[in-house]
Amino acid sequence: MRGSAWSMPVLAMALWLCAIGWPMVAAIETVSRQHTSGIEMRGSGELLLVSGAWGMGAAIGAMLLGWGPGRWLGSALARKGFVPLAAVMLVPICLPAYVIFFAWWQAWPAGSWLYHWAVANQQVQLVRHCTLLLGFLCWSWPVVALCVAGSVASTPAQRSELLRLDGATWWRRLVDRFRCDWRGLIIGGLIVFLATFNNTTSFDLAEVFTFGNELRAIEALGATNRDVLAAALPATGLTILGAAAIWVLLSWRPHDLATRTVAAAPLTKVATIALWFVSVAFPLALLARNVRTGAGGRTFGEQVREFNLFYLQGLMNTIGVALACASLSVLVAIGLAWMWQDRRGWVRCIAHVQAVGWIVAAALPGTMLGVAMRAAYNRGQLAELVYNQPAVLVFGHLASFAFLGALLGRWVAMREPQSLQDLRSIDGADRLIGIMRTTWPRLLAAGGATFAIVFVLSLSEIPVTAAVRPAGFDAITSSILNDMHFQRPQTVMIATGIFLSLATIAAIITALVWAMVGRMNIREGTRGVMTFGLVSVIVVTIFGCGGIDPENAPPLRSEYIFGSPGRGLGQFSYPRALALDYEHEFLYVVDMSARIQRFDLQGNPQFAWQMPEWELGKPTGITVDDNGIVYLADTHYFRVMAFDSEGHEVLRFGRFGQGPGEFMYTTGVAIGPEGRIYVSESGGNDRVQVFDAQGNYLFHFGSFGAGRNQFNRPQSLAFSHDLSELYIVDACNHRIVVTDPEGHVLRLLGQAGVGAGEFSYPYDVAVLPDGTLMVCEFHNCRIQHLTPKGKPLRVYGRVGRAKGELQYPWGVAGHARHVYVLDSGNNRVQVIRTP
Amino acid sequence: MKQQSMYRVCGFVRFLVVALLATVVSFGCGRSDRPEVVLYVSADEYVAREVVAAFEQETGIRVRFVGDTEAKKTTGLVERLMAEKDNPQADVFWSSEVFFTIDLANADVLEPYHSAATSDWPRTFRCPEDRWYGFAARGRVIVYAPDRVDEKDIPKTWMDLTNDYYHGRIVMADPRFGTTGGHLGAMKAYWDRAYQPGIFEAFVLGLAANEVRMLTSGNAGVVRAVAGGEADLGMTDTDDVWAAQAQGMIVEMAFPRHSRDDIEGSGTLLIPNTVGRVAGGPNPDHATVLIDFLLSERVERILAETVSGNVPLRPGLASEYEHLQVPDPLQVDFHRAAALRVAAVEETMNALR
Repeated sequence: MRGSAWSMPVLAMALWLCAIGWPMVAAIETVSRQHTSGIEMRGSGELLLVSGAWGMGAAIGAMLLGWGPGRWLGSALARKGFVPLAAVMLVPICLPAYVIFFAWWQAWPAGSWLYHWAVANQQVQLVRHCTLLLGFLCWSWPVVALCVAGSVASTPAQRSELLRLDGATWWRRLVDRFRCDWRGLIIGGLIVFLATFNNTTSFDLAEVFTFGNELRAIEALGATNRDVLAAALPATGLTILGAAAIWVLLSWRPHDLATRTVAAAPLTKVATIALWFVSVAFPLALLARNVRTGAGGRTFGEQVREFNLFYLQGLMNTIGVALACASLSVLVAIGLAWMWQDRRGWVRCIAHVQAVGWIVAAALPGTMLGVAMRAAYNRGQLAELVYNQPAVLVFGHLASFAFLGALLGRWVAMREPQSLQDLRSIDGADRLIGIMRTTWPRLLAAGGATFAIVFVLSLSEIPVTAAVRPAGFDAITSSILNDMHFQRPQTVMIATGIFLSLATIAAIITALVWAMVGRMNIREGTRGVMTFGLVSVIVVTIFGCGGIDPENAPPLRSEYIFGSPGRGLGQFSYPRALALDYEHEFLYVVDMSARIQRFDLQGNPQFAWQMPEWELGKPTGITVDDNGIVYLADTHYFRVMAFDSEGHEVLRFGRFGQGPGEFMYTTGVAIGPEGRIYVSESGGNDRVQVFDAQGNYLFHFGSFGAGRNQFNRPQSLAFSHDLSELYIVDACNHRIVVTDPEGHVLRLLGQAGVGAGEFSYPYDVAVLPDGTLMVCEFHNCRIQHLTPKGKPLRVYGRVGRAKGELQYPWGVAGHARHVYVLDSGNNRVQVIRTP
Repeated sequence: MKQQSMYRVCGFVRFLVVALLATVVSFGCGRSDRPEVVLYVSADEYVAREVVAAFEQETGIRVRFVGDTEAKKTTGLVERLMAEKDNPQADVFWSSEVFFTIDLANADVLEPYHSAATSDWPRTFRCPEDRWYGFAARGRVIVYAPDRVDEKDIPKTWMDLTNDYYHGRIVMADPRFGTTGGHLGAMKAYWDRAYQPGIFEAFVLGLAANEVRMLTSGNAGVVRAVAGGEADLGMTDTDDVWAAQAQGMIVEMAFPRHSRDDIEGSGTLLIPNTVGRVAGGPNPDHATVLIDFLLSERVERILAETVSGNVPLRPGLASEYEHLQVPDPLQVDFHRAAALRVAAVEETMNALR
């Protein structure tokens, strides 16, 4: 190689150092300092046999099932249909084997005829094992198909045609096909064997004791990493042997390239489609059938929303890591392929060393890779730069799966006939451009296969993820596994559906792009692919940064700001509620020091008093009536208290309970017609109670839930005397509930989201003199100006500490001239002109 | 392919490389200045998220959360905390059990912690050195199928499981993970003290004679096996039975005692959730706020009202949740039980595998 051709090998080397080289050195240093604990594996020989038998069974089954589809795929390799066909055929791999097992196991639950027969005949274990095997086969046949495709692509069609002309029997033709395809079959079978052998999650769910499970068990008993490494040696050795066999098979160099491949038989295509449905459509349908309404009577829509709130970020993170790992694996494949094609021995030697490193790392148990990553990156500045970032996960996954890139890079390098290689070196075509010209078709196929397989393996990876997942970086795979254990199929079904949908969308996009590129000339095609790549990177970047965020809203145009962190007069300790007494020109703020501070409207502090009790918690709601009386929702004391403007108590009512006039956690107070006191509460009651001006109970409305007359953490209240409407901020339902003074729901404003008119944990609402509303959103870090009907007028604020930026605001109040925003996280109040 | 086009393609490859690297780096972007605390939690993620959400809304402190997989049942996070001891990344450890927490305390991964909230904490559910505190417990019980086990045949004591009548009908979780191993350690600790050494070994041999089957899928798997008819009885936790009943499975639970002599304090083993502050964590002040919150009445109430039905340990709450209370909780030294856990598990594995 010369010049720019070095860029890819250098990158591959850098990745190897980050994912393998440095972690291995750090791990050896850590492990060498450890003493042995004396804890040994029991029955390792028997467990090796069990794991090996499962691997063999899955491999043989996958080879039998994947052969036909592989021939179809291989026949399309030289045609334009290859990429879309490969993309569709690989969709089943997006479902982890344990998900497929779980889905099929739901097909015959307790009570079904098969389960009843199995229990009566004590064959539950047998049925479970058969289901597990089905799960493995559904997942693994596309892997074999991909490997077979490569062999088929190098077999000229003339061979098969000559046999047919000679009158060879079908058996003879089958044997001949096997002679041509056996390398691909064996390679695919070996990959499936190794993947099954090293699997733990699926066996765990299916109650099968295997070598991998036993390894985890001795770790749990306190075995040191040194002991675990020693115990894992047989499995590690077996994996290395398998990888070596793959290596040798990939090193076979064809004499000629096939100019025309044999087309697949119609029966093969039908069988492949049927297999695809069994692997994808049926498991998804089974999961959907067994999703029942969740606890609390939630509908499917509510479960989807709950999934969105709790798990969507984890899903995006998992996909992002898988995309990054797959992309980098492709770079590894390209870099190594080019190094192996170099004439210089030392370059090829470095490639061999790298490949051995990738293979050995892949053979290690996942937890050992976690140990290596921790040892390498949980130190000094590296902890902040790598260990606490998703980068450590990407490196960990690379260490697990980039060996596939190494193997396929080897395939690319060795598939070039010797004659072509000699011609290339004679012509001096060993710059980047020359290598690309000669290897592009194979590179494309290998790159696509590497990307696809590594992507799906990374999606379902658990041991490394569990070991080094950065705090706050959710991963969906752990949640799926936990929900399987706790029999919550809803989450499993939704996540699986999203995985498959994304895979299908990707397959369609790939097919469309491929079709477009096929019709373009090279210049247009390159521009099209670059555009697609740029769009993909932008999309991944957005997801990688945590999704679409509301930071694009303009900052507040603050006229002035007052308050700072502290406990002095005029300072705040995380303020959580504010109220405006425009007539007397007072502003009241209550904070986590349990003080109520009084300011003038310019923000000058005047006076403060302390709540009588605060050990259990501090108030979260405050309002002022027309007489200047300050009402506080004393949250953790289950009551409402009222003071005059000098802090003298004038009223208190309420006690803990769920009955009329009793409270759980009071959150907000508003004054309605005739001095009525409206009090919102959460923590189980999630309702609004109404009292007269003396604190005597009148009536209540609402209950916990997401229905029309239900609430989930009603955080605050505001009353519009002009419209005679009560606005209830329903925080965890992400909406404003509008009622009349008797509590009859008139309309609902907003829904969960980040767009204008949508809310994410709204915490307060203020009614302006013109009847419009100012809503403060805790999670979106902004305020919105809305009409009483909920039509958005303006959105202000973004997260931050600068002027005009907000940090998780809790409150808002306004009058004809100014709006006051309680910027809680920044311990201040920002004042803007009323729109 | 023309040379110019190949150059463009190569240029695109380089561009893609840079963009991908930027993507990997960009995963770290968007880290806000919001106050935060790092929590490692081995409780059920579904329940923990509810508690975390309540904490975040209450205090505004963001919780960076690392859970464990049910497959590893606490041990994954314990290993991680041990490995990170020299450069801790977590502030607080919340475990759904006590025995592995004791291991962490003994290894100085957890540091002593005091606050107004812990000043009157009961000694039974508190480390002698104040490195951990227990709250919201669950009980070790026997789950049984009411349609296949008559009321008169329900085991009254744990030793009854060695009765021939239950041959081939019992399942238990792999004791090397989760609470089963801790329970075995507690049995050994209690019987060695209340009676004499050797009772536990005899018990284990009795289980082996009854061909008790071990499951890899944990206590939840035990309940599923009983509900599904694979077994008639199983050793499990109360929260797994509550969760199964909420899913519509037909199972019941029994509270066998640890003595035949009706000795006071020989009833059901209560395994508390535990919380401790990680020594050297990055956000000690916020860790204080989080620990006090986890030890608050509000959290015990949340955990009691979730499907896991954790038993409140606060005397004031106990009367409110009478239906969750267990009879005559076993009086056992958790530290002694933790110390004997590995030996008890090894003896069990030797006998049953």
